Amino acid sequence: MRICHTALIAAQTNGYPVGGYQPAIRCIFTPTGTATAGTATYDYSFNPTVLTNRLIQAEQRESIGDDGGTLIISNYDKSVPDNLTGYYVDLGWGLNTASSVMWDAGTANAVAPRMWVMQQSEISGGAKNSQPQLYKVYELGGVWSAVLNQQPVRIGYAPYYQDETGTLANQTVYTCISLLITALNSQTGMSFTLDALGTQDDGLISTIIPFPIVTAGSFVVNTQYNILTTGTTDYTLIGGVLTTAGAFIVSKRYIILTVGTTDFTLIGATSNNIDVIFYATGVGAGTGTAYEVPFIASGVGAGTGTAMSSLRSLNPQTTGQFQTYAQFVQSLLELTKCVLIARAGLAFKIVYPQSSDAVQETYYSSQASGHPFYENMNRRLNMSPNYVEVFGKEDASISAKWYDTDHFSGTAYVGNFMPVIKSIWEQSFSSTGQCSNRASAEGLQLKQQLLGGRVIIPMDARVELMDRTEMDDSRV
Amino acid sequence: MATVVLAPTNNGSTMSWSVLVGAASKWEACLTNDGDTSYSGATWVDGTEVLGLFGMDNLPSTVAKVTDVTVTVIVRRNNASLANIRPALKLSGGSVQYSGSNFTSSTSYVTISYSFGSFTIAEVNGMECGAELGTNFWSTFCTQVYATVTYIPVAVYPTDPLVRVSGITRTFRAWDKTYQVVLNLGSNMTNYVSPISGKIQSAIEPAVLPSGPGYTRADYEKWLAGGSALAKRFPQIPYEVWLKVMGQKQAPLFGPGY
Repeated sequence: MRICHTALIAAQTNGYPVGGYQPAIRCIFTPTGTATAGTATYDYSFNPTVLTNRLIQAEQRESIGDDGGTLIISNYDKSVPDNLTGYYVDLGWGLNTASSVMWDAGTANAVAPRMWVMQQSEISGGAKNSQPQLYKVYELGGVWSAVLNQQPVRIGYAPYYQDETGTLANQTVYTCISLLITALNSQTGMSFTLDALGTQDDGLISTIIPFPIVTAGSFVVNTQYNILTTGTTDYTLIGGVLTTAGAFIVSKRYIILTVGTTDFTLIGATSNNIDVIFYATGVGAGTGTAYEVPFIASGVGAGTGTAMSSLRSLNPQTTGQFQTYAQFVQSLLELTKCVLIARAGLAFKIVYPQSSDAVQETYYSSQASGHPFYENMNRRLNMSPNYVEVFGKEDASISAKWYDTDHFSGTAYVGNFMPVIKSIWEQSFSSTGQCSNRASAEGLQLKQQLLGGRVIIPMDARVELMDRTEMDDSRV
Repeated sequence: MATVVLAPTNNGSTMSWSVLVGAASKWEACLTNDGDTSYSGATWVDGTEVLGLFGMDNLPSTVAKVTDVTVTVIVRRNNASLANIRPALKLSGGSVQYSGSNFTSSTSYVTISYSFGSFTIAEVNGMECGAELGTNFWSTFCTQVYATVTYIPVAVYPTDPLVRVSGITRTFRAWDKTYQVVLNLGSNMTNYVSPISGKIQSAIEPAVLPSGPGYTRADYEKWLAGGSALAKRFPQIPYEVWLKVMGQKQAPLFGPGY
């Protein structure tokens, strides 16, 4: 939740001066690109104390993994610029208060996550002899829809970006997400940040290593790996494919084992050194040899070679299509009980919902008790699925299950409905512990979705996604 | 339904009991059912019945509606002769209400209760409870007074502490004065238009510049000359006022008729 100015909170609850609300919406269009930094901004904020407002309508929609909005601005004098696509808007959802208009990101702390103008329209209308209607309509995309769901993950070497250098190797889920945001910033020129984990650690996000580096001797049979170092390991004995120059296949990824007489720089390598990974641009010539980087382990191996579990997003089933940051982050968070939300100021935050979390906002059916709600709806879903089975390894030879205790006593179904299973196959999982963690995380997420609700309230700038809210309904 | 027991917190607006044993004040003497360890009460005064009232705890915030208030007193006689003992309740600014007759001659403590019915939350928070003690030549002692409030509790949602805000839609519409938030919780992710309160009106009518040049002086003059009922009734209505009548919030700053 955002900690807003006390005057704004008072106005949100009681209106201004009393008994009603005076909306104040901060709406400034600012160019996004660094090349246009410092150029003109356009302020179309709605100030209830003046008569020169143009903002007709503003809407901002946030949900887990998606966001957007709409702005409608009067263009009666055709002074609104022709093209504001690409500009960003940090909408401030404020009010006129006893301490002046409160709508900014600083004092009031009333600003919601950023949105970008992805589409604009001009509307001209009006009946004959009536007042002409001239509007600009802006469709906005938020951090998810305009950035994370658009930008492809590009970590590693072109053209496949499979993290060949092991940037994410041996990192926890949280660190992986942090590194992804760093990569996103490098890719976009933006300055996204990730809040410290703090109390939002579910014990999984800070410990699970989705892309571990494994040394020969510990390879898990039937698991796919990418070779990072060749060492003394003979990968051909455990499923690896060794190729001699002259037989390289263009576009395949190799790691140099022996240089011999081959000039690997002629076929895509950055240097002629052992363990350099390259995408072959030709068949090659000479006596040099190289392993194909990906292999499916047929044995535990021996020697000093190391390999990393394949990036789940870039396994053979999905090669050829790049995952977006949103997809990648989501696949990582599925290993945990956490959720990633966008906050104001280009910040992200991990949230781990816990029963012990304090209520952050309370809304009342009576305004005399505090911030009112006007309508509250609660809904309960039949829990379907009600148990989860997670398989691991390439051959699905390991598994673990999670049972909802409202429907199962042990493994016996005792509920009012019927057993409904959700099956997941995580080929990169190599232990039943991983399967068990994933099953319980999935089960918790299903459980959290059991209850639904909707509440309509007067504007509240405090509330953020994943906040714990409470509605006290004294209507009888 | 739920119940809550309210205890005395101070001597009330009427406190005519003269006996005080085992406590610093009469209301403290009547906090617990501790027999003769601490008690208050009345001695015989010309055969009249003696009223004692106590201010009581406020209701907890979880009460939505009070359905009944029952006042209970735990009393005894110091002589086995009949005396009328009537639980009493007084609302703020109101008169004292009494139970019907309850004659007792017990020299051991007995419990006497009376249901006074339903009241508003504010009335209960301002009420005083106690009893009118008949004396009948001897004394009557009271070791405890309390009120049992039966109520419908405030419904608290969501019932599962893990349900969180899963969707937020903030809306401002100047043209119909809507300024609100729709929160989706848990699995509820659907867009929604409420049949009950889909919009919340702001206190002021938001002022927005008109789209287009709006009405001009030429339009105003046409209106004046048009002979409408309003024009006949207010032939001298100023242009600026006319604009407001026509629903235009501000005179246009440009236009051929300006």
